[in-house]
Amino acid sequence: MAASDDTRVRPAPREPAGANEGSGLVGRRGRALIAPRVTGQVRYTDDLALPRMLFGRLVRCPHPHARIVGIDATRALARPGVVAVITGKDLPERFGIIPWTPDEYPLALDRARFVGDAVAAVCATDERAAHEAADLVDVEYEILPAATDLDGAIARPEVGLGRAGTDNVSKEVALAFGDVDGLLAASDVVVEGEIHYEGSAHAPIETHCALAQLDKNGLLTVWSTTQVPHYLHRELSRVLRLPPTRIRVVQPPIGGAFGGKSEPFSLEFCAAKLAMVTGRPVKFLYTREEEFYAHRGRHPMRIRMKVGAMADGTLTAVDAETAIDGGAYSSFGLVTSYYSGQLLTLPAFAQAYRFKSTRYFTNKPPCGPKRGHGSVQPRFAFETALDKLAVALGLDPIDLRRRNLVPPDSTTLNGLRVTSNGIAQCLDAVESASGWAERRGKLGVGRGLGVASSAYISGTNYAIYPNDMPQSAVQLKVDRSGVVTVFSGQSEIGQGCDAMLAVIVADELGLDLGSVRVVSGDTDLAPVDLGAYSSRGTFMNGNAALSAAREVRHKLVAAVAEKLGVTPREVLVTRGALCVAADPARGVPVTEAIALAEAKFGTLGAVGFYNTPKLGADYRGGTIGASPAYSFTAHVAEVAVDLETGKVDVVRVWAAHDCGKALCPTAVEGQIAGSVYMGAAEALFEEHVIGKDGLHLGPNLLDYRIPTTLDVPDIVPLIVESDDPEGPRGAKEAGEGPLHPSIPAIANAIFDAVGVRIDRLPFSPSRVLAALRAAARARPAAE
Amino acid sequence: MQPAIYDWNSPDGTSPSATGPGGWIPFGGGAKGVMVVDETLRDGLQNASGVNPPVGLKMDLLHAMARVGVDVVSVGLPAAGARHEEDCGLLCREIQAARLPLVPTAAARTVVGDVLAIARAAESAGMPIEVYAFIGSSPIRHYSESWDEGFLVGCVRSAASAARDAGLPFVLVTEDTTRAHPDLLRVLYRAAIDEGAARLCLCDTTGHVTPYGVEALVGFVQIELSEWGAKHVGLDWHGHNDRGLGLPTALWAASNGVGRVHGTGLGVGERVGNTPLELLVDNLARVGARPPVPRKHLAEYCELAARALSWSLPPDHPIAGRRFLREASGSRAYRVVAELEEREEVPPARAVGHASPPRAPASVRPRPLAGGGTEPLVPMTLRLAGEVVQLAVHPRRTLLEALRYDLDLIGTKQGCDKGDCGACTVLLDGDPVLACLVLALDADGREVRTVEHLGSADLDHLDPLVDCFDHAGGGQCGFCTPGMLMSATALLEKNPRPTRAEIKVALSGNLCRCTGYGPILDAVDQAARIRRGEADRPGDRPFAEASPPALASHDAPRKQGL
Repeated sequence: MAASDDTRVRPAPREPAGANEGSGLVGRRGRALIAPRVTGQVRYTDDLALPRMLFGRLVRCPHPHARIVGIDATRALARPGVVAVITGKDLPERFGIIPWTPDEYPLALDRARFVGDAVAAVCATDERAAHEAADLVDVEYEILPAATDLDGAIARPEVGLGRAGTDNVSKEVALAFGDVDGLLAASDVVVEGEIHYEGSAHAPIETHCALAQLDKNGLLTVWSTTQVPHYLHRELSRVLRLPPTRIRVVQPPIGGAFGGKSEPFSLEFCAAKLAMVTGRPVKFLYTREEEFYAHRGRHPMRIRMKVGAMADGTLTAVDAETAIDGGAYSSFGLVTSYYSGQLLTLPAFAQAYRFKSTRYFTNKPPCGPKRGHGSVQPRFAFETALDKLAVALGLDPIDLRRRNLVPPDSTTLNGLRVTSNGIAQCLDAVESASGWAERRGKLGVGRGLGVASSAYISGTNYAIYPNDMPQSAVQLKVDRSGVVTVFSGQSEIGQGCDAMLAVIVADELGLDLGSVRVVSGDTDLAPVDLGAYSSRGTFMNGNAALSAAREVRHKLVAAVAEKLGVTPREVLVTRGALCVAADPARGVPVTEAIALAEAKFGTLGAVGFYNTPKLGADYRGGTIGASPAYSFTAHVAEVAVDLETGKVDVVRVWAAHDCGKALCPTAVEGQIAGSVYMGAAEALFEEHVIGKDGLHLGPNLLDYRIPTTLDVPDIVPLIVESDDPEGPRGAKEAGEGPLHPSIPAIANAIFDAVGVRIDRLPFSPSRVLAALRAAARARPAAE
Repeated sequence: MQPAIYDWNSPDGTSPSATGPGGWIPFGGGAKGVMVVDETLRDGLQNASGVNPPVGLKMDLLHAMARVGVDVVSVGLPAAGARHEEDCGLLCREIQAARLPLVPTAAARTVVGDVLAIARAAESAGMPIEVYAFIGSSPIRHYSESWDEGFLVGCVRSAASAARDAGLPFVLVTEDTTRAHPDLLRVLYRAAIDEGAARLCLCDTTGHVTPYGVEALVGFVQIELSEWGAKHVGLDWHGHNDRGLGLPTALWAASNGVGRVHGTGLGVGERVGNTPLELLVDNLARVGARPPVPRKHLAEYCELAARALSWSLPPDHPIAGRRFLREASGSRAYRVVAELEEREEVPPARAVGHASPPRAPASVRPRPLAGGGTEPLVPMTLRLAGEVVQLAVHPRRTLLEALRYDLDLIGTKQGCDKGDCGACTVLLDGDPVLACLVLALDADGREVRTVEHLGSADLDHLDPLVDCFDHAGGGQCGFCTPGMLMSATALLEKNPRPTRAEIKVALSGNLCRCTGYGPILDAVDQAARIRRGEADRPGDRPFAEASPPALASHDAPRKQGL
């Protein structure tokens, strides 16, 4: 989307690999150093309280689609304890995370587009008073026709949710590469199928929360559970009509996000506005129910896909048509529409490809990015199609994929540059760990194995708003006591990016992990980073930190070389000391090296930044999906299906992930396991269903069933290291990629176990049982 | 209008005082107009706390008694000491000065000196005080005291005549009546009546009697009085609670025609206590024998009685307990009915039964205001890490809110506020509970352990669980971790050697969205091993590897420098 001249900053040239890199900490297994988090002793947003703080509450529309005729706050304002009430007229400025599609107001101005759309905000002296007062705001609505599902949005353009009001279309993307029709016609086998995915929620255990304060100098500080403080900073300035110099965004530690906190929400604007109106700090905390309505979860999709292959297993062409249910607003929908097609061309693909994706608006909570944004649903369609082809051709599904792998250092069909690529090793790893060759087909009735593979981006090549500035940066402050502080704009959301930064810097400077402090997520303290999305943290922020740490390392090495009378090339950085490589007994402790360097060069510090090289193909949309590196994953899932009840038990999942280089293996395994868990949950349990009336069917953690300790499979994470040439110390992403194969691997395992294909998620007992019965009915007829 | 409940107590909607099937005495029948005697300031003070409260507290309680409709009050045992005698006089004066509709009585042994002490108190108050003179009447007492019939009759006669001489009404209180032989009772009662006794008080001193026994005893005495032509002599019932029957036997005595029934505030009294007066009053109203009393007056009476008796009000007390305020589903409806009863001041038995008057549905009632207004702050205490912490909360405050917002113990997290996620798990008296589902007041006086108790500034004293969570990657975002740690703590305290399946079950109420649970299960397993001494703690401590040593001490000898 961000076409620009080729004037970007190139990544820093890499140091020659070998002995003179790091000090042996990278890749070492160890504690996460998040003990304060583990004991609950860091302050998350709702753990903050300010004197005279007020509590806010949004008034939400109870209708799926309605015109706001009038709002009367008289009764609410008369309620003791209520301090202020604001409506859309107080914040009449549109916003949206994608600069091309700003279509949201903090409070709906004249039209509410889903049950839960915020129309007014109340603040009061205590939380209960605020909640009760919100019920006292009298809103008169004129009910409008609504489309609460994909079919309704397609069949009834007159609902008029689209930009021009004449249809419900949010975004259309149609791209074609190669002779799809010709290749399909010439194929030995073509499989065709349609999958349905009803969507799922992030359901972080911490709900959204924001706290705003206007100080007496006119500085507005907003603490928020956001994973994009920089974008929030910009949108606050726009909506509140305040210069950015008067705004500070602080992102406290986040209790889980998974993409659900990657754009501004009503509560941040309303907290800020009410703080400005009342002169008192204002906090909003979404209830669990509101969390489900604020949503931005995974898009419901209906994908019709044809995949062709020759008899030897060579894939010929893929033809996909996708209808996407976007919910009430655009959110990241423009990107979602592209991702639903663009990210499919790795790791094993065909010679031609055509996809048409249409995102529709519906009167439902808006959808957005969830871990594996836009690409989990088509991955399910494609990887199950490959399984069908393998069956049709009598090939081992792993071999089928091997025959079609996109090689390292190549370009995909749709123009994505691929550098490091460990998919072959990933397939080998899961094949061997799962005992695929020996066990497959010999597990008995109701038990089966399934495989799937995938690839994912390590950050996107372009910022959400076009600019040529760095995508990520850190500042290092070096204290003569031996403490190094990393100021980073990255957002620690539980994925471990603070620990990743500490490991990179400590490793480079020979420091103890405890001596590196990371200060992140504060627009006043840290340089700009675009945020925790698109799996960009390790690759981009890690590179920025590495470049800053190397600058300091050079100074330490130079000062120590001078002191010891050797050349800098002879100095080796080890754990705790810098010494002469050939004579390790000669050396100085790191702390002393820092003092020497400070005496020689003056106060120590460094800035490091990263920007991507210009990448992407030269067609409209050709930059979406372009990434400086791709991670690769393969899963084998083992399932046990109860033939009487249809209940699917995922016994074990072997997940091999090529993360380039595991800087912190425990954290990488944590990301792999967490991804597998989340994918398996979508496969078996989770379904974000909105009824015809626009109401969520169960907006709580009892009805919206996320797995407990008793529901999860045994997960075996397997790390594959392909040593990416541009990644920091060779690293790539690990946070989102490993989710993708979960659903199709389980689906393929179910087929292997009981011979039925379930094309609708989740694979609930009733659906599996219905498929088993249908298959049983069909069998005698076929004989 | 459909009645709110179906009433098995009077299924046909008839008055509760109507004759029941089979000609039995219906519950509450015959009780009409029964008087209530408050023994709190006499028998109540015999409780184990052993205090004699300041007379001001006693006076406050007198006023509360009047408000709940007490008819007769025992002002004490003046012979117990000068202060008691003085207090009795002051209380009687307060009754006069404030025109409280209370008949004062005082206790005495059947000893002339005790009666004279009452006479002096009456003199100082300028009003008569009824003399309740007691004497042991059961064979076991006579055996242990070596008393004989002649001695007993002499005591009764001398005490009664002393009262008569002082112009005070005399009541003979036969202790342990429910275990006394009828022949002796006949003798003692005749002696008392001969000396002009106005009343006889039948006592279930050891809480021995059943309702059948009540019926037999009361019937026996009534027949005797009738035969003696002494129907003017009234009867009292004074019961204790050893079998938990204090209240039912008192109600049954009233149903059988006893004119005065005794009780003490909260049922506090000697040993296991007496008939709880507030429940006696409430129940007599519910059977239609006495006018109803608003709950808030009863609750206030209970609070004052508790204060006077140095007693703590049990949280589950049916009238005044804090849990009456609980609004969990189910009990809410009962509360609404109870509030309606008060507002409209209709007899409670009718309010919950068939009778009109039509009531507004709960939904149109004005809602209580929060943040000031109608909800006062209630003082309470929590025991946290061996420390007693005092705080004051609104009755609706959850334990989670009190911990997080009042005490700043922010380690306990809120994930759903409705019991689904487990993030707020804390240990209440050692058991894991969801703090969002526990009212703060329900934890009053109890021990609460939160994740803060597992942490320590000193890594060597960090709980192995915390250490292992960190080392194994058991926490990512960390938000569910405190709850996990508390559930795991409870598990390991009960089961130091859990299997993996047992760990899974113990943690199955704690949702985690980051880890997939594997590292959490590993961490708990490893921590259990460390606690059992079968494994070492993870070694890679921060600051342990490549940190510089502390700066040199100023006390150490220096080689150079200033």
